[in-house]
Amino acid sequence: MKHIEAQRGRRERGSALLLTLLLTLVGALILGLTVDATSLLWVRSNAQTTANLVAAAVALEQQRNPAASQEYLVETARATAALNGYAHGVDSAAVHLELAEGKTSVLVEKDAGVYFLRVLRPQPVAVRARAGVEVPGAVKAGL
Amino acid sequence: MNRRRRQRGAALLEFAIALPFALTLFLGISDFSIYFWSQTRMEEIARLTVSRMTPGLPGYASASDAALTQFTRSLEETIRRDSGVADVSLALSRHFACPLADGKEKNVTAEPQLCEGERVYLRVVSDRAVAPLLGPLRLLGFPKTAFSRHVIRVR
Repeated sequence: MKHIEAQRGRRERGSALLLTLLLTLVGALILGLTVDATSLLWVRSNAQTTANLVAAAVALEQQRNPAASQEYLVETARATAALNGYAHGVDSAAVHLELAEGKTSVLVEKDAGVYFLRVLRPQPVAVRARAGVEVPGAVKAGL
Repeated sequence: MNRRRRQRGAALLEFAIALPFALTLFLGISDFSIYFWSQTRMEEIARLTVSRMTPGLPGYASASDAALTQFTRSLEETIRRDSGVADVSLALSRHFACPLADGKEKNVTAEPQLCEGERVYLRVVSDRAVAPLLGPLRLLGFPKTAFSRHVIRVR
C-alpha cells in the first residue's frame, strides 16, 4: 500500500510544472497570433487612410486640371502615396488608379510583415485598401 | 503528515517557478493591447483630423505661418473634444512640390518653390504617450509614444 502511494506521489510531482509550461506555450502562441492579427488590422487601417488621401489628391488634381492624362494622374496618385509611406514599387507597395466616367478609384496594397502567423502561413499577407471619389465631389470612403 | 507537507512544499515550489513565466505572458498581453489600442486610436484621430480639415483645404495652402499655428491649436482642441482623447497633441506643417510634365514630383521642400501648378501638402502628425507600460516591454525599450503621420494635399 505504501509502495503504491509513493509511486503516485512521484508521478504527481512535476505535473503542475509541466501543465503550466504547456499552457504558457499555448498562451504564447495565441498571444503571437493575436499580435500579428492586430498588426494586420493596423496596417489595413493605415492603408485605408492612405487610399483616402490619395483619392482626395487625385480629385483635387482633376478639378485643377481637367485635361490631365491618365498617366499624369497615376503619377500624381503615386507621389501622394509615397509621401504617406507607400512608395509604388518599394517594399512590395503598389498604388493603382482606375479611372472610369466621372469616378476614380484608388487601390493601395502592401505585403504586411507577420511573424508568428508564418507558422500557419509562410506566404506574406497582402493588405489592400480601396477608396473611391466622384469628380467633382468628396471622397466617399472615410474622409 | 510528512508526505502531505512535502507535497504542499513541492506545489509551492512549482508555482514559484511557473509564476514569472505566467506573469511575463500576462503583462506582455496587457502591454501589446495598450500599445495597439493606442495606435488604432491615433489612426482614428488622423482620419478625424483630415475630415475636420476637408471643408477648408485651400485655405491651408495660402494661410500665414501664424494663422496656421493658431489653427493647429484650435484644431487640437476640437480633436481632443471630439475623440475623447484629452492628451493627444497635433502638429501641422506645410510642404511644397513642383509637378513635372509626367505628374511626378521633383522634390518636396519646406519652403514654397513658386512654380506653376505648385502642389501644397499638409503633414498631420498626431501623437500621445502610451501609458502605462507595466510589463517587460518597457525593459526592451518598446515605444512609449503612439503616433500617426499623414500627408494631405491641400492645393
